[in-house]
Amino acid sequence: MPVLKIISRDLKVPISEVYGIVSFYHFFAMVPKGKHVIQVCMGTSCYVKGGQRLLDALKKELNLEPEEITPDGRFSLETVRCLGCCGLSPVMAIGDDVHRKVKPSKLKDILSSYE
Amino acid sequence: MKRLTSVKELQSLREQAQARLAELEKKIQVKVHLGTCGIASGANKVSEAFVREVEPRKLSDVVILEAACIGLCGREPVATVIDPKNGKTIYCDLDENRVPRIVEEHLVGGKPVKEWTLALDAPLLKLQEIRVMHNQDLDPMDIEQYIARDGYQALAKVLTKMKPDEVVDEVGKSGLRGRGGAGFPTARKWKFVCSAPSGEKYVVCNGDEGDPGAYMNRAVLEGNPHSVIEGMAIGAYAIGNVRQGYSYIRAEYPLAIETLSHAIAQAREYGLLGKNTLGTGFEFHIDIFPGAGAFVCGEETGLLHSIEGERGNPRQRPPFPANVGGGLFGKPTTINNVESWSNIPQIIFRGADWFASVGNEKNKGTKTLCLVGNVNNTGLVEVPLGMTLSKVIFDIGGGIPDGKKFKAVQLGGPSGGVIPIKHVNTPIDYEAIPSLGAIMGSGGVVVMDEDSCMVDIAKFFLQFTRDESCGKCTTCRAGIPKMLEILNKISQGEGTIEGLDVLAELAEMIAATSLCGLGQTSPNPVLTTLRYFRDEYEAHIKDKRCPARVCSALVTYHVLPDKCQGCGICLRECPVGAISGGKRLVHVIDQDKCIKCGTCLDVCPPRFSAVTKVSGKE
Repeated sequence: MPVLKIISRDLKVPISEVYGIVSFYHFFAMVPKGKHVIQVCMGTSCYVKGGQRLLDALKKELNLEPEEITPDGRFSLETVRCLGCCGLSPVMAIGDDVHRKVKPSKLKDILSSYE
Repeated sequence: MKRLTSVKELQSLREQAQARLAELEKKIQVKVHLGTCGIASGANKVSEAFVREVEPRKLSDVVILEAACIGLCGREPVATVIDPKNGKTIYCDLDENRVPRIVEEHLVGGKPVKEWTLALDAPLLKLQEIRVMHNQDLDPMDIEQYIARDGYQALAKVLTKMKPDEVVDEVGKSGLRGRGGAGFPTARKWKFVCSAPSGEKYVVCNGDEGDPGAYMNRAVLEGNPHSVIEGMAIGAYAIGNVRQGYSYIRAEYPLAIETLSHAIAQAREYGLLGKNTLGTGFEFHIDIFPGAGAFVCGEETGLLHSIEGERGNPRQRPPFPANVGGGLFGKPTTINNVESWSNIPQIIFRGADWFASVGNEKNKGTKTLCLVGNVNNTGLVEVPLGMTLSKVIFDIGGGIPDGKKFKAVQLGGPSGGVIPIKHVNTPIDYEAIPSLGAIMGSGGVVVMDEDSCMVDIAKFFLQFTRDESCGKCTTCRAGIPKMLEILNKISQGEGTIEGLDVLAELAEMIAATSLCGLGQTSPNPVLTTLRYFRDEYEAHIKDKRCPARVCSALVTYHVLPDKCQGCGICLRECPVGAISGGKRLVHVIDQDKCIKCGTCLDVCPPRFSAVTKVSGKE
């Protein structure tokens, strides 16, 4: 919110309009991002192939809801609408790495490789 | 590189580039396909491994190259080896460890490692008609390879030999229809802008490919970026008074943006974009405008607002973008999809008749499709329009994995619908698909097997459109959540038959009273699932049963006492400690504690298969 106020003040745009833009586009965020941003793909193909279960397992593993960040700032969790890797579903991205055909049982191993 | 200042210079460059390609063909070429899917699967490591293995052996006749994605996304990393003796060999499912053997036996020994190759006469490859994707075996970062494959010939032809209206006529004759979804004839779209009062005009490339389950445009931008640039330049010439074009690409596609930026810079350097193109006096510039993650920006008026720096809300049409006051910055504008632009150079270079030689009566040319979901060969395919769904799913796609049954196929993303098995012989074209309640959309084909619940799928798409609705129209903003609420109740076993009527009524109202395509088409997933799978809805409502065993409120997990060996794996893995039992004792799931995550079913060893999922009275 303080950031929105600064943008509004300096650009001389009503804060409602700034908020309108920020909430409209997914690439703007209002909470800090973790050191590693986990994006779980919820596109149709990933959904059909178990993306929801992957997300549920991650939520449990990290004790996080989407758009939240771990207390130590190590991970933040997001869902995205299709990473365009539908041939590899279900997919999740951690930072720039895309993990393909992820099984919930593999999550612990994958997460532990990110400090 | 010196700027090309005439068509003659372009021709001599083409000859040089062709000679270089021919020189390469005498050698053994290893092409590692580095699209987004490939990189995600570790293609970079495979590429490095080839370099590592080849270098110490000093194989002077082997060259290792980079190429774009060839669409075998489910089999990545993929590499193609082309050698004078064996011709083309495609290796699938590679990893670093497989590289040494390929180098030893194939590159050195001259014998392909057959067990890792994909047969070139497999229906997957043979039934396709590769046109838009015809440069995927080239390096997209090298403009000269594109030029060697007759790239920019069409631009040279229109600039020196054709009048603008002849270009529009040729595109009209080809029968090309907009590949973004609605299938509006491209030439007619152009004519509207041509006939708008003169003054500055714009062309825009819509690369905001937001449909989940579709990434054809990403593949074209990553693999054949110059075809899009050339198509836009030809369009700019045909429409007239266009000096500036924009490519709006969604920010989720970093590699596509990078590849296209590189291609635009190269085209500029070579004098194929910018002032005085090929010495003809023609001037055209392209800038990329990355999106910021909003699905509705794929709607043309939303997209224009977004380029103008506003919130991407769609608005009432008319004025249409082609009209004065309706386009970008108020100027007449033509907006075409990536794939439409990409088709233009070949229509001009090879002729409208060539383009129209495949397809059916009203639908000419090819369409790229993303064949994904529960199908054996997932990936990007290109087929003539009018091919039947069954041919795509069963012949090219190789059918459904794990011996499961085909249930339905979803086309057109959140605006589309599901098509059940009884209509699987429908041709894929802009008339037949909408007649079933779905839409062609941009080309996502998501195959679903018997384990997909249609109520759940309808819910999934409505959640999507609810999240992506811009909120301008009340019916869309408030109506979709209302529909979703009813669906949620149904999936929890609390729905009523009357609820289905309300659902249909809401759907009709939202479709009739929303401004843009997002709202108007948002009820399609519900309407088609209701139309073809009403019995499934009724099972949820009347029998409190989810036939596909997906809706978690209606599903319970049990350990089969006669099969359980008491191994303790599920007990250890259960995240909530709902399973009791001991070594060599039959395990039991406490239904009050169970959160229905399905972990026990996943971890129970297949040789025991002691965990089952039950819904209703079974």
